[in-house]
Amino acid sequence: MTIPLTYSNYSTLRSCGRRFKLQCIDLVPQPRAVALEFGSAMHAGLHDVLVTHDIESAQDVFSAYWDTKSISGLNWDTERHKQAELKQMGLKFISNFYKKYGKDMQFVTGEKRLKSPFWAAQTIDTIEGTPDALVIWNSKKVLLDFKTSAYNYLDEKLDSSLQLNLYAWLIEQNEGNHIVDDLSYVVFAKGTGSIQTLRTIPHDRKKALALIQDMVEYWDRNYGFYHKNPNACVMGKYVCPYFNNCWKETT
Amino acid sequence: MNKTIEQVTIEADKKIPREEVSTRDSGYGSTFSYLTAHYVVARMNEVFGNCGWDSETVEMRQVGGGDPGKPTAYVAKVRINAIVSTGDGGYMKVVKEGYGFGADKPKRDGTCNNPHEFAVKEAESDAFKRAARQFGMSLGLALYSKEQENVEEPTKILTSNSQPTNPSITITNAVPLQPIAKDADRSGLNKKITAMSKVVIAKRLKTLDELKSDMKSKYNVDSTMALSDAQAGELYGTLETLANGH
Repeated sequence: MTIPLTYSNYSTLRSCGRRFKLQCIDLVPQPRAVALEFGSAMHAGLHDVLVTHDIESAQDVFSAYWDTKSISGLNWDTERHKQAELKQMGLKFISNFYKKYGKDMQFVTGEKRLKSPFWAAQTIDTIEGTPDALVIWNSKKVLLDFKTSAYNYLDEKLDSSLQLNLYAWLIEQNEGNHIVDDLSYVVFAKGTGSIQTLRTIPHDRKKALALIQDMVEYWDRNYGFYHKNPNACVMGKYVCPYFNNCWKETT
Repeated sequence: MNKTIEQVTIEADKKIPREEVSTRDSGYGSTFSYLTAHYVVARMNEVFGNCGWDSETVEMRQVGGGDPGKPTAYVAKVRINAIVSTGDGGYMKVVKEGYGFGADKPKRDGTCNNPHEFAVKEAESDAFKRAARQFGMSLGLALYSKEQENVEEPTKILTSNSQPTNPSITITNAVPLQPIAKDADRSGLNKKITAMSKVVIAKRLKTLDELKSDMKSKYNVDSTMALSDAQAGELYGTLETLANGH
């Protein structure tokens, strides 16, 4: 039995084999990161605004999420005031997104774990993923991915990104009646509460399959060889949450 | 006994009552909201306890004027040290700093009685307030948002059974008519239950069907609207505990 191939697991394996082993195989717990939790709370709010078309309801969901003890209990150190600042930013994101784009979108599916059995590689039993949202927008079925970033994503980087191509493949595999026309990355700018990029590209299945093929090959070739990537931990604990465990294991 | 981080966070992020917010002309065609230093000190005492914090003026610099009888200006830097309990027997020091500016206001004839005194005091209290706001909404952070969502407006209520002669009448701290308050509270609670249910689902702790089934088996109802107030309160508490446990 192997662990499922997900975009997140694959990215971890690519970044550092040792980190992949600690995080995905050994399941070494790591402290939950503020950025990760903020993204989860945002996703809950954005999902709600697409389903209900009610900004207030979506903001209530985001606030309820952000006010839970799991957020207060994060390691805020002396930056506690940032919890309140991020809350205001999240509320603005939801409102800005809905007014600019969301009001014209019709929710189809999303935030649902999709699973596809896979037989073509020994190290893979299933490919899995949870796409953010598939919506009907301007008469097309558009697959959305929400990102929060402090810097601008380059269009070329988004165009060649595997993530949405993989999710589109999963949707078409799992839910045969949904054909994905376009892929759209919505990037929220940290600090301003505005949307810095909305990049929509046509769903090119040939390109998507080539990207997925690369992913499967890389996974199959590297699964089981958990070499440490020294470039990935050049700044030690400031970059990799598993730095301490990794250090213990190698010395 | 110092307050815990959680207690401090909850207290610091309370809303500011609108009546505590003062305004003045910014001089650039807009108004400027501010809190009095007295109010901020009182709030700091409520948030951290009277003995749970102190402040020090770490810098005070004259930046202009000061000739006898003429206006002057100062810049100050204030540091606030607060001690909070980590909840496990330990304590943590939290430090916030802020800069402030103060200038004396000359009399109509252009002269000043105590130019340094007023400017120094103003710079210090400005710096203190700028440091304090970093602790949370109720300590001034709320005023930095354009919408001021965390400033609590006075309750608008009707004072008699008849139609009001002035529909916009506002009475602060008056007791609202019971049925209005009850419905408003209940509708608010139902909204909170809905939001918290969605959080539980988003955290993949339970599915919507599981939540519905739980409610049916415990209260024998299909909708939150059919719950009594006590049951609704209990359900919200259960959902909150579930979401917090993640």
